Amino acid sequence: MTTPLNLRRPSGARAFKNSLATFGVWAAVAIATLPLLWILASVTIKGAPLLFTVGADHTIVCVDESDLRVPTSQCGTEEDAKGGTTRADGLRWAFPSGGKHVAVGEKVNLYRVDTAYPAADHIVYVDSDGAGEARFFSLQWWTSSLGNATSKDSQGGALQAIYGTLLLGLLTAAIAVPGGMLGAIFLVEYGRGTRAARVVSFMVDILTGVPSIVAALFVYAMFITTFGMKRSAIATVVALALLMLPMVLRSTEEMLKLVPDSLREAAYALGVPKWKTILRIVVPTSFNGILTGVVLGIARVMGETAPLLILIGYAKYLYLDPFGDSMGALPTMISDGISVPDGDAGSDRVWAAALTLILIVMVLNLLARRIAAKTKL
Amino acid sequence: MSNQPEIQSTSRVGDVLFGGAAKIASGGIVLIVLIIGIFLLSNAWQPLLDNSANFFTSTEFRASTKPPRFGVAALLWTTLLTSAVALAIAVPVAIGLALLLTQYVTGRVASAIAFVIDLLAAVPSVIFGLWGIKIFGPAIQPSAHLIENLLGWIPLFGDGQVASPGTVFTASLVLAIMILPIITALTRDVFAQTPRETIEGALALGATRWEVTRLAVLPYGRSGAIAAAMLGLGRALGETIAVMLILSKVARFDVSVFSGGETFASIIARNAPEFDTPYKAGVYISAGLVLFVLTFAVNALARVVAERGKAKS
Repeated sequence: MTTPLNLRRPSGARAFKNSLATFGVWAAVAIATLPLLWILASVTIKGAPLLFTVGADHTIVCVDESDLRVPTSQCGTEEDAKGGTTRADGLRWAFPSGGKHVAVGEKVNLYRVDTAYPAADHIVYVDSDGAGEARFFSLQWWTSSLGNATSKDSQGGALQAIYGTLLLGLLTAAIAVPGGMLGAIFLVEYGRGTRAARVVSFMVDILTGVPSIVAALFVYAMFITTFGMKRSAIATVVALALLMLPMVLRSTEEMLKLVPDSLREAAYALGVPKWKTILRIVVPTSFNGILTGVVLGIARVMGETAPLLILIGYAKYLYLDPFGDSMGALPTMISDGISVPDGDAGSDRVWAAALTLILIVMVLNLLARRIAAKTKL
Repeated sequence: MSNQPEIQSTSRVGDVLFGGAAKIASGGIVLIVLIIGIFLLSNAWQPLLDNSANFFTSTEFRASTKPPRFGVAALLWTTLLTSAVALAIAVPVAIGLALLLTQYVTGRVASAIAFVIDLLAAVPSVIFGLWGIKIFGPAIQPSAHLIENLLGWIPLFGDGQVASPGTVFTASLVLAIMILPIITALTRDVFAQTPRETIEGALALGATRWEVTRLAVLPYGRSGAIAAAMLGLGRALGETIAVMLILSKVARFDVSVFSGGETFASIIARNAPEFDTPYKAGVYISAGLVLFVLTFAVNALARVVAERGKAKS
């Protein structure tokens, strides 16, 4: 400091600098908040319709038993027509419960439909030029996989991707949680203050900083190039576990450190062995905190994309087998459809997948906060 | 407890097993970091030997030609440029946020702001990429054109021949938002530890809130903030999917921020479907190796800076 401050009375310049700083820090809040709201709003607006509806580019015409047009509100849905048999002119017929007859057709003249199929209670006419749009309430997004739907087809759900994301998250946790917890127990309970603990701690920091793409390349180099295995969900899980391990380890370590030494000493004084003290006293005391870290870790790996791109093929069908070479996942569903032009059904699906992913991640984050609030420490 | 051997002896087997498992898990972590480096190097070795272009100065990256021609100059430039611009924007904002959270607000307001930042950190990077290329990029195109028109005579801001918003400029801004939460969280922790007496001393002397910040908080937290910024840099260097979705490919390398290009991470991810032979994969693994070394160095340095700051205070 070259010039001593005049600290007696805030002069104009000092007061001005002070208000400038105050303005600056509040501006920072705006800069941080705006993108979050912008992202959440755009993903919700563009993605939400598809989560509960299905169908687009439909014009619906319904007729009753006497071939008279009835309001579209009395129409059956396309779901009703599922499983019908194929007829001439590409019309499919179905006889859903309630005795109503539904026909679904493509590129068929409206009047011919009306007259050629008088028995139909409801005719769902699929307009060939895409004019007009109708959406039906449906949970198809959650119950069926994308299947062979092209980027122009509005049908198909995201079941395969939701399943893949959940499965990958759980399998990753199954590997990373025991590993991370044991590592933390070593650092806090067995190795505190030793040189070995410092080396491990340093390596955990380095592992935290390893980019996900590098972790994925490492797994590729080891499992696929060197050991000759195929791309699979299991290989992906190994890469994801490498990313989750340091997160679980660090949060567990922080929690174990918070457990008062008096608890440990009380157990030792009663003759309880160290391992039992850790398993019965230390870990249960910090359990909520550890669980918080685990849930946050799962939320983080579910959003990872890079390892999936390298270690597993993206599948549009539901494959349950984690040893298979392809599986859908929400992040890869987004990156797979990113180049579909706006307005096509495939583009809507990308946003819906993004919203689904955000919902899963946010629910896990809020869950973690609830668990953390209940912690005993 | 060495003077109570009889109590210890009742539990030897359990402790040996459990302690052993804890040690093995920890040893495994050390081993993993080492073998990551070894496996990457061994897989990249043969393509590196056969490489007919200079690995460090060439801007080409061709894995399919025989022999392959690849260099990391363009990748290194784009990676460092996106990260540097992102850091230049994110660090001041993060410091502002950290100051606000520690010095300006308390209680409910502070936890509400912290909640927003936590949520921002929770957004998956693929969604940042999607939003960046479809919504944010087009929205900031006018300001990008403005900068290009005003400063276009500087090569760094020159016309990059990219019509879409998939420029380094867009990618950098999105990266800045992505690394903001981590830098904020770490910086806040450091600022929060500023000794109470120092702050109260300054206040007692009649310092304004900004002077307290400048004289007490910032000097105290400087090394911590630098370490936080470097950890953020490590994140930005390795960010893959957001950058891959945003950046558009360009035919010819250009230094401008309004050009497209590839970073280390994005070129690997984009070409993953081409990993049909171990040899071709090895070409891209060589890029991954450089990225690994780069992030290792940045993270190790961040830790050294943080440790030194801790020792000083």
